[in-house]
Amino acid sequence: MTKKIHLTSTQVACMMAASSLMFPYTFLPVLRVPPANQDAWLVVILSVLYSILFSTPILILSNKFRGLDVGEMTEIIVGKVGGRVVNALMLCFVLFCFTACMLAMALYLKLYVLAETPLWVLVTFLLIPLTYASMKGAGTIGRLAMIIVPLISATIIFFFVLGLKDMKVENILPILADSSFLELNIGAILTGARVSEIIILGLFSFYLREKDSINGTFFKGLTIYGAINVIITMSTLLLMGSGVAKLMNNPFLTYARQVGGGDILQRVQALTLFTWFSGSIMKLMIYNYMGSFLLSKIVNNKKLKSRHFAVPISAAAFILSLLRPFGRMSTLHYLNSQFIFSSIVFSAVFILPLTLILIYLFRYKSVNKATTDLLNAKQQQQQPPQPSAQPQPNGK
Amino acid sequence: MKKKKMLLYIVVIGVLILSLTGNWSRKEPKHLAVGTSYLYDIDENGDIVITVEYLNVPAGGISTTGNEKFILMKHKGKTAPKAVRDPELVVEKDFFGSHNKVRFFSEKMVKRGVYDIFDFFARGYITDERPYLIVVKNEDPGIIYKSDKNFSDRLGDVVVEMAEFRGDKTLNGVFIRTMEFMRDYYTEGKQCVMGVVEIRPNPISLDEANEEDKPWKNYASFEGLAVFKGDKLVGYLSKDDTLSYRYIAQKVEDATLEFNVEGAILTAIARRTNVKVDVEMKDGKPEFEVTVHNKLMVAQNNTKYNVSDKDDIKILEELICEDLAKRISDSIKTVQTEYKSDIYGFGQQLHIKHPYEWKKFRDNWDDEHFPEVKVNVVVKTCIDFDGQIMEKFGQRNVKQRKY
Repeated sequence: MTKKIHLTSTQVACMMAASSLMFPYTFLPVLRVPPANQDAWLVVILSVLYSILFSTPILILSNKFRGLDVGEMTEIIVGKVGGRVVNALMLCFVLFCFTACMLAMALYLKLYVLAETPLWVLVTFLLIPLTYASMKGAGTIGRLAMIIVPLISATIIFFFVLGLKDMKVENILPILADSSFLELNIGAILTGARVSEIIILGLFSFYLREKDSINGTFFKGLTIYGAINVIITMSTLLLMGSGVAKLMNNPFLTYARQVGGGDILQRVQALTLFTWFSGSIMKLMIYNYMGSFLLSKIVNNKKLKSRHFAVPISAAAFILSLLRPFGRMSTLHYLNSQFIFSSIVFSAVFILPLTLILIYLFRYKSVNKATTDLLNAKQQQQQPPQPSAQPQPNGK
Repeated sequence: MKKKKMLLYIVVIGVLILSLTGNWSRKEPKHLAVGTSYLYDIDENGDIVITVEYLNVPAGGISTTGNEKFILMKHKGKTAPKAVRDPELVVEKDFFGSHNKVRFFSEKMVKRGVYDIFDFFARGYITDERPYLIVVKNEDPGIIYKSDKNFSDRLGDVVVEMAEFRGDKTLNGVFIRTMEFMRDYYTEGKQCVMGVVEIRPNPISLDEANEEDKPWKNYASFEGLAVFKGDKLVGYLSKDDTLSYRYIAQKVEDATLEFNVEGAILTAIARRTNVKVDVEMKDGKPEFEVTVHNKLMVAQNNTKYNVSDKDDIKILEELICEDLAKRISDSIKTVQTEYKSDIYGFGQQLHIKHPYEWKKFRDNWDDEHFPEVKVNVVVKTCIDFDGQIMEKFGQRNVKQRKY
C-alpha cells in the first residue's frame, strides 16, 4: 500500500491562486467584458463574489464527501457507469483548459519574446517540465506552488510600486458614472465564471490534511487571487487607461514594459516574463495532473496510476498544437472569448456539480450509507494490522 | 538541503541571465542593426521614408575606424513595417528595434495622420511604447541628423537625456512617450500632443579652429509643443505658450520662470507646483477654474522690491500671480481659438466631475464647446526662499534692515 500524500491548506490555496492568476496575468479579460471601461477593477471585486457563488456546488460536494476522491464520489452518487460519464465530462473540460492554456502560453511566448522560434519548440519546452512535475505527483505540485505564487505576487507588487510615479488617478475616474448596475454584474458574472479553480480544490481536497478546512482553503486561495488580480487591473488601468489597455493582447506585460527608472531599472519586464513563464508551467502541470488523475479513474486499472497518463496527455496536446488551426491567434481569441470560455467553465464548475447535488438529494439515504461504508473500509485499511493473539499455554 | 540550494542558484542565475541583458535576440549584437532613433517621413507618392540612426557596431565585431558612433540609413516602403526592414537590401545585418529611443516625424507625416503608423507601433513585436515622439518642424526633416549631438553620441541619446533630466524642469517644451500619446488619444475629453524639434543654425563660429574641432553647423532646439486633433497635427505652441500645458497637464518641478514685475524681471525657480482644475456648471455650461500653487525660490531679482522683506514679498507675490495668470490664460485662449483642440483635458475633468453633463458635450466637445468655455486662472504663489543673500546685491547704501 502506497502512503497517501498530504497537502497543507496553503499549498492547495497556492495551487488555486497560481492557476487562476494566469488569466489576468496574461489576458486581463476583465478589461473587455462589460462595462469595459475605467470601472474594470470594480468588476474584479464583484466577480469574486460570483466566483464564490459558482464554486458553491463543488464546495458542498467536497465537504460532504471529504476523504473520498472524485472517482469514488461520483461513483457513489451516480453509480459506476454514471460516475465514469461524469469523470469523462470533467476530463474533457480539464483537457480543453490544458490545451487552450498551453496554446495560449506558447503563442504569447512567440508573440512577445521568441518570435522566431517555431511553435513546436516552445510547446516542447513547456511540456517537458510540466509533465515531469505532474508525474512526480500532487506533493511536488503543492511544494512548487508554494514557491511560484509568492514569486508571482512579489513581482506584481514590485511592478505596481515601480509604476506608481507614472500612474494617473484620472485614468480610473469617474467611478461608476459610465457603467450601469447591469453591465457591472454581467461583467462580474463573465469574469467570475472564468474562474474554474474550484475544480482544483475539488480534486486536491482528497489530499488535504484532515485538520485543514476545505472552506478555509478555498477562501485563502480566492483572497490571494482577488488581491493580486485587483493589483494587476489597477496598475494597468492607472498607467495605460482602459482604452489602450483593452487593445493589448497582454496588458500587464505592456504595463511592465513602461515602468522602470534610472540606469539600473531598465527593461525589467524580463522579471515579469520569468514569473509569468513559471506560473504558466504551474497552471499547466496542475491541469495535466488533474487530467491524468481523472483518466486513471475512468480506466480504473490498478496497474495504471495517474502518473502513467501524464505523458500521453502531454503528447496528445503536443500533436494538437501541431494542427494548423491551433497555431493561430484567431483560434485562441475564439476559444478564449468571453462567451465560449465562460460557458464551458460555467458548465463544468457549476452545472455538472449542481446536477450531482440534485441527484444526491434524491438518493441521499443510499449515498450516505455507501459513503459511510467506504470511509469505514478506508479507515480499516489505514489502521496498522493487529498483533496476532498469544498462544495459550498447553495449547488451550 | 543541497538540492534546495542548487534550485535556488538555478533560479537566481536564470533571473539574472534574463534580466541583465537588454538583448533578447538569439543573434550576437554584432549581427544586429540596432536603431536608436527613427525619422518617419512620406515622399510625394505617399510612401513611407524612414531614416534610421543605427549604432555603429561593425559586422565583424572589430572596433570602428571612424569617429562617428552612428550610421544613418534611409529605407522606403508602402508601409512602415516594410520600410523599416529595408526592402532595397542595403543593410547587411538583422534589424533590432527594441532599443529605439525616439520617433521623429516629419510635419508632412503628422499632418496626414498617424493612425496607420501607430497601428504598427502598437502591434509590431519589434516596436514598443516607450520611445519619445517628436515632430520635426524643419521643411527638410533629415536635417535633424546634421545637428550637434552636444554631450551625447547619438541624437536618440540627446532626447532621452534631455527628457529624463530636463523634462520636469522646463516650461518651454514637452517630452511625450508613445504610451502617453496613445493613452491621451483614447481618453475622452483630451487631445494629444507631441514634442517638437527645430534645427537652427549654430551661432557659434570658430573659424580659426581645426577642422575636426569645429562646432556643428546646426543645433537642435526642443522648445514648443505640437498640437494634435485626433491623429493629425493642427499646429504648434510657442515656447511661451507651452507653459500652460506644462502646468495643467504635466508635472513641473524646479522649473525656472521669469516674471515681469513693473517692467523689471524677477527670475525664480518653481520648486513645487500643484495644479487643481475645478468645473462648475453655470446655466448649463461648464466653467473651469485652474488654480496654480507655486512655491518659488528667487534666483535673480532685478526689481525694486526686496525679496527678503515680508511686505515687499507680499506685493511681489501679487504681481507675480497676476503676470503668470495672464500668461496661462492667454495661452489657453490661443489653443481654444486657433486650434480648437482640448490638449489640457478640460473635457476629461468635466467627464470626471460631471459625468452626466459630459454626455451632452462629448460629441462636439473640441469644435463647439471647448473654444467657448470660460477658463478662469488663479495663481497662488508663495516666495519661500530668497536665495543665499538677504538684500539685493550692489545696493551699498541701503537703509538698515527692518528686523
